[in-house]
Parts: sequence; C-alpha cells; structure tokens
Amino acid sequence: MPSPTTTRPRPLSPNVQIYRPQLTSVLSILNRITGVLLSVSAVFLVVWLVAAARGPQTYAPVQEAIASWIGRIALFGATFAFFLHLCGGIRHLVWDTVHGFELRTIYISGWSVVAASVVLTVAAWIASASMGG
Amino acid sequence: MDPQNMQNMRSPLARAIGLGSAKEGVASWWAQRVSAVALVPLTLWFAASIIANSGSDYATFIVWLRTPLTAILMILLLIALFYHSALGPQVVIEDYVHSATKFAAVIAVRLGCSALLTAGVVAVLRITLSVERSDAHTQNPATRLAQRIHPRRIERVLVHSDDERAGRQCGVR
Repeated sequence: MPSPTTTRPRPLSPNVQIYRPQLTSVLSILNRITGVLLSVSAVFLVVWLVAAARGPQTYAPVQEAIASWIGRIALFGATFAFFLHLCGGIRHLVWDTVHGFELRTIYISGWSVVAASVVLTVAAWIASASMGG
Repeated sequence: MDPQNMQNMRSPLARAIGLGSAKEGVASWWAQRVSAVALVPLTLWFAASIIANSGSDYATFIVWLRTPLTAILMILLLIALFYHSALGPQVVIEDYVHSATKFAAVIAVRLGCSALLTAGVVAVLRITLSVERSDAHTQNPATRLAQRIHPRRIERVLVHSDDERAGRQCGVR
C-alpha cells in the first residue's frame, strides 16, 4: 500500500504562473530583471573605461560599437533599464521607511515610476542628440 | 538530510538565542540600501556627464575624465556600483537557484565584481595620472608614434639632433 506522503511532486510556492500579472507584481520582477541587466551593463562600462585608458587606437572600435545600430539599441535599453531601476529603487527606499503601503498609494507610485522612466529615457536621448551624439 | 529534519535537530537554546538569517541578513540588507542611496546622485551625475559629452571626440573625453573631481566621482561610482551589483544578483541567485550551482554562482558574482571594480579603478587612475597621453593629440603624428615606442627615447633623439644642428651651426664638427 503506497504511503500518502511519498514522492509525488507537489507545486512549490510561489507558483506565480497562476496569478494574473498586476502592476505591482510586474514592477517587482522588472526591478530584479533591470537590476541584473544593469549589472551586465556595468561590465561594458569597465570595458569602455579600460579601452579609454589604453589609448585612441583601442578606444576607436569601442566608440564605433557604441555608435552602431546594435550599440544604440543596447544603450537605449540600458538607459530605460537604468531609469526604471532608479525610480523603482527610490520607491523601494520610501517603502523601507514604512510609507506608501496603501493600495491606492501603491498604484499611484507604480504608475509614477513607469511614467517617470519613460519621460527620463526620452529626455536623456533628446538631450544627448542635441549635444551632437 | 532534508532541511525539515535539520530544523528539528536545533536545541531549544539555539532556537532561543535565535542565530540565523535575522542577524547577518540585516547587514547585507542595509548595505544594499546604503549603496542604493549613494548610487542615486552618482549615477545621475554620470548620466548627465555622458549626455554632455555626447558629441565629444576621444581627446575631449579624456580631458573631462582627467579632472580630479571626475576621477573621484568615477571611482566612487564604480565602488558603489559593484558593491550594489554584488549584493543584488546574489539575492536573485539565492531566490531562484536551488542546486549545487547556487554557491558557485554567488562566489562567481562576488569575484567578478571585485575583478571588474579593480579593472575600472585602475583604468580611471591610468587616465588621470598619465601625463604624456593628455598632450598626445596636440603633438604631431611622428612624435606621437615615436612616443608609443618609448616616451623617453623620442625626447633623447630630439635633444640629440638639436645639439647636432647647433653644433654644426657653431662649426664645432
């Protein structure tokens, strides 16, 4: 007779796939995803600095890569990831002071994070273009 | 041994003292917040500087990076960034990786961040403390080429040829 407690694979919490995505949960996971993406971007920051330190010959191909279409798309993505993580991070720091936990406030701050990230990303690229980038 | 049994094997004293994640976990949690607070002004300064330097060529960019304030802020940014980048992904790994690779992955992230931080700081210092390279763009291409062979050698050659010319003019040789 099989024991009822033996090895039948049970779903482990948090089985997120059964939940409908909400602003709160989407922003929560996006904060992690953008954080990991920015850590990867930090590798390229160091590559860029090391290339600059080695001289114009080494810097030129890096500059070319940044100016290429793939480079620009990656940089645009990194800019948006940066502002989303920055705004999301500030929202988390406010939460750490035990403020803003009412459902209404959480949705206001959540949409503010989305709006601010979009506006700041577009503003940064317009400013960069006006500087001759 | 599964975690459930290990839990039961703790003595009542151990449970009362409460040694566990609630102690050391707080330090890591605080470090993540402190580095986050430091990163707000530092990353905004960096983004603004990059935007301001958008159209700059290599020489202009290096002149900006060579100023002491830029170098200081850049190194502070790298320290805060890689501190934050070591702690953040570690939490992500600990939450989602439940195999033997978890430990290896956390160590790899930590060591990777240390290596990248060191490489970045050395690069900034090389740019800030180098004297010859900053003037390279103002000199003629021949001098620049020779400097890459050895900065001192070209100086010697130039001084020597000047002496020769002067000597010839004075009729010494």
